[in-house]
Amino acid sequence: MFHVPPEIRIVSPPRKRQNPFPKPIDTEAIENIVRPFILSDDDYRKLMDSMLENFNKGLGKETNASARVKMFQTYVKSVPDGTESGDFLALDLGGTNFRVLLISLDGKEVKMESKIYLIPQHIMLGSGVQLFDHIAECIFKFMKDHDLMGKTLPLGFTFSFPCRQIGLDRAVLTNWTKGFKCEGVEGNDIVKLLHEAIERRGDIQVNCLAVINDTVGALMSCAHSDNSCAIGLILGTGTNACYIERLENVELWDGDWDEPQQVIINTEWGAYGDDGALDFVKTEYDRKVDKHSINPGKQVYEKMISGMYMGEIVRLVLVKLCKHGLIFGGRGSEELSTMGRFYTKYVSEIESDVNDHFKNTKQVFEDLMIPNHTEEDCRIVQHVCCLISTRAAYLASAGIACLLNKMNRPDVAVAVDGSLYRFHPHFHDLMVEKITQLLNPGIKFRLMLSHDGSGKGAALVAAVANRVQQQKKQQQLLANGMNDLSMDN
Amino acid sequence: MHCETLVKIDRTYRESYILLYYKFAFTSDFITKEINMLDNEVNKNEQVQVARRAVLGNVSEGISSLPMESSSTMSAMPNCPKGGVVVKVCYAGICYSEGHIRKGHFRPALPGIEIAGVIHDICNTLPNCNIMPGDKVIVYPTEDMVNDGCQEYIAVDDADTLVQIPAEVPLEVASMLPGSALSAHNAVLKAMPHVEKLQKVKPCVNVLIVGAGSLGLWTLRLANFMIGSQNSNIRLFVADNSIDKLITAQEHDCHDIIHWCEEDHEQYIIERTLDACRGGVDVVVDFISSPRTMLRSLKVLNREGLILVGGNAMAEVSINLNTLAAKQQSIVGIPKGTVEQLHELVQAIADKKVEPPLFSVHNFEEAKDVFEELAECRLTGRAILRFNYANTTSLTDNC
Repeated sequence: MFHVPPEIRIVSPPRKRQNPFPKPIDTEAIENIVRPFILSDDDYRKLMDSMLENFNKGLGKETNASARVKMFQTYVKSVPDGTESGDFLALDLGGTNFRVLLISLDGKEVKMESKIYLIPQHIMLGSGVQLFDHIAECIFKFMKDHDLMGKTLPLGFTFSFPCRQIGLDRAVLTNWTKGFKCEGVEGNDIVKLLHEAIERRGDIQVNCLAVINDTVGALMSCAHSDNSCAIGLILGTGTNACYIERLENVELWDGDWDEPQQVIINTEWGAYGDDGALDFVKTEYDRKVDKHSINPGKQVYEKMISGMYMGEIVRLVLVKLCKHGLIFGGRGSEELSTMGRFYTKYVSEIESDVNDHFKNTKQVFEDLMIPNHTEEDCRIVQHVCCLISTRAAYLASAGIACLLNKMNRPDVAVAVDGSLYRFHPHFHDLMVEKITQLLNPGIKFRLMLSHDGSGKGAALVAAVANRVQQQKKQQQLLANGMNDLSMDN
Repeated sequence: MHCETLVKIDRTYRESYILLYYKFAFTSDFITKEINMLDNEVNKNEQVQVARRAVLGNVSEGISSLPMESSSTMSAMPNCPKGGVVVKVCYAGICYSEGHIRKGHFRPALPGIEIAGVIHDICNTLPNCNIMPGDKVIVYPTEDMVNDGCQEYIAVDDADTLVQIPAEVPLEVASMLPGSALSAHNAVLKAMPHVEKLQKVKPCVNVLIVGAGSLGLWTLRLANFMIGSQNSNIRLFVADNSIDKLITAQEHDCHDIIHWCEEDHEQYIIERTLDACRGGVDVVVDFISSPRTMLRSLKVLNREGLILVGGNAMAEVSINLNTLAAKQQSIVGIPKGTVEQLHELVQAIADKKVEPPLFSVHNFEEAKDVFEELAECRLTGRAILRFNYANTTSLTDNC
């Protein structure tokens, strides 16, 4: 333990008397620096029109190849109808955590048990075989702990990376995001890789019936309790949305045309703006963040909204304000100058301060080792965070309003999940306000927190897929039975 | 005794301070204590942080390779103090706190806490000497030793603070005992009565260890030893920012590991912790005790819960005492430990009742690389530097 003997410990030098009349804040200079984050109503409407164009481009047969917003079909046609029952396994891979869940469905009742397994850095950057072997091992450990050895449970897999689905249980990874870089996976069917890893082990059996995206999970999970749910939205480290589209609009549809004549479309809307459509609202800070990211030029819309970049945008603004001597007496810290060091959670914490004590804001300044800070600095930093998070909320709102107008259903519940939505004090209210403003008349909506969509949602999709599979088996047996009868006759 | 106080330089414009430079010289027994108070690259003129660097003695090769300050006038061989001994250092454990690492670069510190060596010289006035030159010993750390930092030869005033190491205990293992093992031992001792009390009324008692470094790993080992095999309703959990350290902790028999990722929202971390520790946490052993870890600990702590703090924090923590009282919780400092306990620890290791946690031994010339690997968590467990290795023959580490 560290001990600093009292007689050697240095006391701080006698504090100089504070100036009772500090220099007033140069509000004009600050406003000039942050003004680009305030967009007008016209800007948002222009954005909505542009997004609609992009959505249609993605859905169109001829235009899909060159479209930036890909509008992938998920092969999930139905939302849960409340009759789902049984035990299901679910896997959730979206970041450094990997979760295995055991879910028992019985009508509206859902029981869940889950365990988180960490994925060490060397596996995130190793080979695909290593990654799936690690996943298989975690499944084995989970099944052992929960007395499931010897059983083959139907399994749903929430795989939160951009995928092109070829069927409900076949998904090809288009590219890794969020820090993963396992070779041998991009361009391959991840369900096949999972089954191969499990076979290599030989001691467990799983039957992966469905692969879904986390947005679909959120939608399914919410739809289980509220049947009018038709949009799933993720506002977390990344941002994405899915919605229910009529089959006739999905020009690339290659599945069956049975009822219901609809399918959930995974928009992958994070890529909106990759062709320059957002240049009219981009700020110099957005450009800087983009330049230093691992995928420059890509995911432009996402970079202006999601948690992975929000902290960095705030940091760049603070660094500029500091350089101009407008905050912190012009002296920042090494931490403040380090890219990625302003965690997005700080934005939520700073905006949670409601009175002049600024307790959270000062704690953030301590974490960042900023030597001098005054109450004015707290106010200014809170203002900056406010503007940037408001812009993010409004941009996301424009996207949702666009989808709601497109679907034109009279009453829609929007399932939302993600740390940004859950933990930011104002995000929900800002979105409700903005969507209401941008929505066509006659459409009602509500934003619902979809908790644990990745687990429950995957199980529900597996349940639906299982039901369909069983029905097909029954029909097959019946058909065989009929054949036998007719043969006998 | 004369005392020279030299210059106090306070450079407020530059980013570093040289604060104070003391020099004592005793005329009779010449001991030069040099305490280099360091600068830190953080310009905090409100609160001074003192990071002590090692003052390394007359080690002939490789001083320049160390990122440590070496004072210009080194103590050569200290004279044998009256009634005391001189110990030649063979192994020194690298003790550091997260706060030092998080500044972006590692500030190496070798306070003279985890030291093991051999007796070099014994004062002839010592009565009934059952210690001989060449005996393997560890030294119970005193305030002076801690400040001096690790030197090649250490003068020990009081022979009672020596603990002899039996032949079956490797000296590198022994070096960890006066520091992390002793603190961990005291943490477990302080927690046990509370755990036993709760065991009688609750089906399951959850103990959360915050920090998966050497202190945390020793706590796991000693807790498992003291709990014994029949108490399966006491669950040990370990939380840390580093996944690599957590994976190491997992191999030391804990019920589960929890990733306290600094980038995640606090509420999310709390949910994850409560999810892993079903029924809430009853005892927290927090060696980090920073404002954030304390806040999380208080949020997950049950009624009548206990938090044991190590006090390595770089910042002050503010706690709502009303909540503490309402929930009948307590916050207790982990005591320093006694020489008797150190003897007990050595015996427990010798009897193989407790296995040391993961450690690795490095020649001290590699110190710079070792510090880097520690900072990036490529190396987990305790890193121990080896000195005077021409003389030592045992080369063990258990990684």
